[in-house]
Amino acid sequence: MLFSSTEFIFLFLPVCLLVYFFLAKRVAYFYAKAWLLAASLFFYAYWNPANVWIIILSCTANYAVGKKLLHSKNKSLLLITIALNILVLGYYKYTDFFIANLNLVAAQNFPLLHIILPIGISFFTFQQVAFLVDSYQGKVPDFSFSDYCLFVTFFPQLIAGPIVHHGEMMPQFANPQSRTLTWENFTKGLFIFNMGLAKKLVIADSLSVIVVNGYQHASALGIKEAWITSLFYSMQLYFDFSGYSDMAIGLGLLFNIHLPFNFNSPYKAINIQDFWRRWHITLSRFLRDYIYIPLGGSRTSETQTSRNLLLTFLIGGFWHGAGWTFIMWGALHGIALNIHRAFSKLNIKMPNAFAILITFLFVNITWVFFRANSWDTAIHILRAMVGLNEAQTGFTLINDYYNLPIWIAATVLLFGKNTNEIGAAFKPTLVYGLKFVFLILLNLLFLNSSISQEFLYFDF
Amino acid sequence: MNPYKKFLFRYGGCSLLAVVLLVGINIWIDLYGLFWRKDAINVYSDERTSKYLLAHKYVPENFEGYILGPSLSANLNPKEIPGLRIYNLSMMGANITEQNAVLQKALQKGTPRFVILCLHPYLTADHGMKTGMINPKEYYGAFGSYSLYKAYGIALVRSLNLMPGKYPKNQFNDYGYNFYNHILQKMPVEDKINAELQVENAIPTAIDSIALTEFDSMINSLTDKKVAIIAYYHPLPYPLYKKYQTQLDAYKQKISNHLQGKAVVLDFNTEENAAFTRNFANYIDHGHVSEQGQRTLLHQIISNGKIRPAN
Repeated sequence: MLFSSTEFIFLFLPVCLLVYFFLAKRVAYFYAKAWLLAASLFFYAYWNPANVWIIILSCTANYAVGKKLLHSKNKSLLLITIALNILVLGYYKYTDFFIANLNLVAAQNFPLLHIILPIGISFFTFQQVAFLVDSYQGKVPDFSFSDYCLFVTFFPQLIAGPIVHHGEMMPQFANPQSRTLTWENFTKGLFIFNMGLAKKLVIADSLSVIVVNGYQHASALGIKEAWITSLFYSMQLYFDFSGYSDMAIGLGLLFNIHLPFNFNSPYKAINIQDFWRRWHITLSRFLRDYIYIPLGGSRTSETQTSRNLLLTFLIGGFWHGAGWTFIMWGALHGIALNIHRAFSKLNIKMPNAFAILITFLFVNITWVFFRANSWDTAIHILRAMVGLNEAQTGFTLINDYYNLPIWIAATVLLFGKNTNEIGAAFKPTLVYGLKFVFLILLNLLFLNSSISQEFLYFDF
Repeated sequence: MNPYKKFLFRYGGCSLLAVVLLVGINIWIDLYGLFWRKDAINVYSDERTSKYLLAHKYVPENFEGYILGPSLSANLNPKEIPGLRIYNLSMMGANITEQNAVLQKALQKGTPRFVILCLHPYLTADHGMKTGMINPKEYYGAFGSYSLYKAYGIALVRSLNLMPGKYPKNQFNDYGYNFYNHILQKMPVEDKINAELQVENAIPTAIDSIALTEFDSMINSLTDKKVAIIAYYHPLPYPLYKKYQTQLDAYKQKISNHLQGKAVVLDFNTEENAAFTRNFANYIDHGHVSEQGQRTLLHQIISNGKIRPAN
């Protein structure tokens, strides 16, 4: 059930909200939370009911170990449990990758298992690993099993983030003030949800048509088509994923739960470090706190710091997908961060516009590895971008220009105020009222059109 | 009252009113004859979506026969045939899956007396929907959707003749005729045919097995309803046909076997029809017929197929 589907918007969400606030007000908050947990599990089961046991088992086991770690500080237990979490993720996500590479290296022909990845497993595994580490370090207060399960399974963030931290979620679920409907949160939540929905339905999905065509015909692209394909993907990914995050944040607010921001105009970044402070912020936070710092962070020698950065981003790349293209993407970002560290010591200031352009171009090129289904596809597109591919006659990348106004609007929106800023400034005024009505009409129009597609980050 | 609550009720109410108003306008316009319109309705844009939606009500309620096929038959103008109300459900680039989906929609609402089916290897070369344009969701789209507003925009462009090169004013008519000739015709016919003769495997004749199953299913759905089927092998320019005769004859043999006893089968590639296929004035390119060609062809189908006006 996608956030951008009619069954979610007109059936699941209203029923979930109505029953939640009814139970919270008329019965007991405990039952309201139990309802929210059940609804979240239903939401998860909607994709594949057989996978519900994975998340239930994962929650139960990690909760039990977390409780134990709080009191025993048993490092072996911590390491074994983290390893088990990673093993489960590895089994579902990386088995075929390892078999394929083993076949290649050892000239074998072991059959691939084609295991279907349970949706959201990369996200809830990270969240629970963070929880285990913090429990061991005594940073977790006492908590109930229901609050813990709700923290992991809360449906707005379950499938594709933001990657929430127990420290910011469980106190909110425990807070009695969360139980009553708050008109301000509710209205803001609806407004932010609609902004995210428009980013997804109107912009990302219309860009997707061109991107899919370009990547499917990578060898046919000339320089112009290759640049259009890569630039459109950069925009599509941003509007798709940040749109999803906005919807998650908006949905959280409907339940009086504040989810962390995940994007802050990333393409306005003036260097690659700045980019990672603006792009998928909750992932950057996780990688920093649970990989980079434990590796030694920047409090070691220059060489070790460089190694830590590179390792962190290699892991980040591999987390995104089981493929060499993802590892390459992570490596390029790790290398770029190291170059940036060295460059920033020279104290050379460059004009902001130039810095933004350089950063964007680099990010845009690395997205080619991120998006390409194979190494060959990535190389075809990159070669075409530098003019080494001849455009194939008879191939047309853009078949019509009906969506041109949307593409122009998308480009403008990249550099305007972002949804966090607009949401924060939201007031119950006429101007926002007109924006609210416009967004609702636009979303209904596109919701009722047959072009909507899955969110890109569901694959990770 | 809490200002946020007031805001929500006020602008939520405005949104609801705006939705009701916009949906009301779209129902009033009724571009695809789904709700109330009884008059003649043209196609304006997205031939697949339009013909699929028109097949819900307008086509079955107003026509006694249909023409089915890809672009090769889409430019046959049924209005040329007096006394018969035939709707051309053919679609540019359509394969059997798409054509069958549109036909089945029309059959749900009514039964025609006859169908004219254009046969060419293209129709059964592959299967599956080529686009998302033929989609049950499009019915709800007629209340207000991206494709509906796009159709309004193109209808306006056509009626004001703003882009005659891309959207000619009278490209379609209310009988489903698609006069695409001057959009497709790019070079002298002889040159195009000669160029095509140089192309290796210019007419792939392989039949997709699933497409053939769908073809059988479509034919059976028509015979079950006792609809007369007049199937014709589209006349190909003589030199092209001659080049691929062995493969094309094998294709025809296979298809004719599947139509045995179920359809009247006409072949316009025989020597008796060579006067037509040798005359390039009947073509606009290597296969699509010209205005002159379509007139002759349609009249021959009607007379050879013995299609008579209903009593």
